[in-house]
Amino acid sequence: MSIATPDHTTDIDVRDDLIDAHRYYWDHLSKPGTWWSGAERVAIARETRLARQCALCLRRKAALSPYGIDGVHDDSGSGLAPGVIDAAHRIATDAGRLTKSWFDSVIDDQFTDAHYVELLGIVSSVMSIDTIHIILGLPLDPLPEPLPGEPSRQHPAGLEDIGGWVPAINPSKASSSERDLFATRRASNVSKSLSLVPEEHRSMKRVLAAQYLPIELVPSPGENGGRAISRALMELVGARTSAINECFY
Amino acid sequence: MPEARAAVIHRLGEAALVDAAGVIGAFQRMNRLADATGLPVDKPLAVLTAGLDDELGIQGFYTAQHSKRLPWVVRKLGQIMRPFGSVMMKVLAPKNDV
Repeated sequence: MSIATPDHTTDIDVRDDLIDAHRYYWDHLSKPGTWWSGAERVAIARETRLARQCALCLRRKAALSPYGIDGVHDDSGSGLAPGVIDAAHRIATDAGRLTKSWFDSVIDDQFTDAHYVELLGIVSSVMSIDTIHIILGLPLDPLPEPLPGEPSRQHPAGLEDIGGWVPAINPSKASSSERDLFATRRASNVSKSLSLVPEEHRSMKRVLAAQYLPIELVPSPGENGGRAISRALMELVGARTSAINECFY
Repeated sequence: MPEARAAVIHRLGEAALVDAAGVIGAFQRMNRLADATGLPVDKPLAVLTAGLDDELGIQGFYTAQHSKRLPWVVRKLGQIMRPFGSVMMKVLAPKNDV
């Protein structure tokens, strides 16, 4: 599908599967999730976008340590709790300097590790889709209208500590309802990172396949999924992105 | 950004720009998933890439703290195995990896 950029530098011909994957995500976002309502999920997405211009986030990003800078985030008046807004803004703008002690300070009975993982799925999805639009010079997709309904509040079985801050499903212990999350009984830590909230894991897999590669092709270094750039160039671009984000993983 | 975009289109074509943008978007996501959950690097990959972190200077990244530094012997072993890295990666890396 050809889309004209606002600065009229070019008409960009964007793959249909990429457009479809992003449409799927906005539809997914609008629905009640596992721990957040549709309205809360869209509000988290709005905070993710707002974080890029948030004065507190900009001051923290520029500081030697973000933890020495106090203040209040610019927020959208969503009614989300301050800890939730802080998590969305920090993950969006400065994820490379998050600490376990910060994580422990925002998690409580109302904002549990499962709420956090669903929020992380939303923030990282919005960041990924918006980044592509910004690079291509396309206007950001409008956020969807939230749909009514209650979160399902379902915990998956087969969780274990994988050395990070949140538990994840051990693929070999996944219940029948979560077996579709993993192609085999072995999976990397990052590919298990959202599995505490299986619906977020599924949406991540769906969108990632269009943005990068279907997960089953990732371990094969010669596979580029039919993209217009080689796998080596794809990995170079990914590595450069990770270096800029100071992501050691 | 318009100049960079035009340069990529000129040298590699429009489809390449879209695919590179897709990769950058995907890594914006994956970086956050790893960093915001304090994930350590998977052990097989840590061994196979041992020493590269020093060469690239990424041990100074804040997020390096999430992964335990491997013992000297294991790092040396990883360096010896590096020429066979792509084969070893296929054998050792999780089949469902990202």
